[in-house]
Amino acid sequence: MEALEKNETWEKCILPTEKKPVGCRWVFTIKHKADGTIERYKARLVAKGYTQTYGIDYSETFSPIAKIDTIRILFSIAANKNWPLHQFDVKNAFLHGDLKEEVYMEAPPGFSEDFQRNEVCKLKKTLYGLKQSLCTWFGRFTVAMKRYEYKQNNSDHTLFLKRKEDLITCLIIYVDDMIIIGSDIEKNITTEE
Amino acid sequence: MKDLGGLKYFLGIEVLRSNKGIFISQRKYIMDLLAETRMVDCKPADTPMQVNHGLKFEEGANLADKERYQRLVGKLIYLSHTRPDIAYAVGVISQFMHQPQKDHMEAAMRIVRYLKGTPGSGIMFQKHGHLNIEAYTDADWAGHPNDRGSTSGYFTLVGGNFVI
Repeated sequence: MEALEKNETWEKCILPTEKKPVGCRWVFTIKHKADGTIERYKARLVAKGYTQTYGIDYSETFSPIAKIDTIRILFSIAANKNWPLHQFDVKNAFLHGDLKEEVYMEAPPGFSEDFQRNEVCKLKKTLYGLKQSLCTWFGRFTVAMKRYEYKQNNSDHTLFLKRKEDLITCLIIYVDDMIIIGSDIEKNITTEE
Repeated sequence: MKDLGGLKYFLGIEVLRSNKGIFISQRKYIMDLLAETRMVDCKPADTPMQVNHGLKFEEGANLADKERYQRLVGKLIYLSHTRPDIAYAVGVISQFMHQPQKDHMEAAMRIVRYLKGTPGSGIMFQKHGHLNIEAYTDADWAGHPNDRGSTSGYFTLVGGNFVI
């Protein structure tokens, strides 16, 4: 909730009569580590995207899903060249995307006392569950990567490459998980995104 | 953005790095699958499938639980990422997704029993000192009992390591 407020995900407003709000719910998960021990507890607000209508609530969808073949090829190259492997994760990835369409959402469960009758959230940022969230987030990510002089690969759009003389950095993204492999890992790519 | 350090766990795939190379496996995924199918204490099988299995659609045969079958085969397909040894068997049983019969379910559970004996296997990427691309393929002509369909297989090496 703190993350949602800090990001100004929505503003409260009265629902226009011709609009229909999408529902939302909290999803609570327990994150486990690979060995089965509990890492942390996580709460996430998701919009019920399946109630959205194409053309009204959203127009473009796309998911940046890395190809496992690409990952295996990069592993092979990394093993041959002794390149390091690094993993990054983007916090609340979807909360960073600006929403183009006008989408209204019901008050989150448990917080309805903060809202007056007829008052709903007008979404400014994308949220987990919205149909367009992935597409918006990936679009933003691509623009940012190009600013850092990475080239998007044509065969696999989730692969970004950057050459600097004979050094190279390869970055693969799977939604909000990233693997970075290369002879020149830029550890400080950015913390702004 | 958070730096999680060296790559260890990605999309349910465990990654181990040593001076010998990179090893990937889905051990935990297999353990979860065994628990879910209640096969934790089953007798392991030596191979993923019977030789000359001859699996096909049998007219009037008893049907298996379709939903359970599809979920199981879906997981086995995901497991093929680090287990090319089950890829053929998984390919065969996935032909019966739309109407699985008892024999097909038995073949699927056989793969699970095979995995029980070899949960830690995976793919090793080693240093071979080159980045050559090599590809191999073979085919079985008109081998399918139902429609005389053919089967082909292939694998590709990049830098001496299996990739696709």
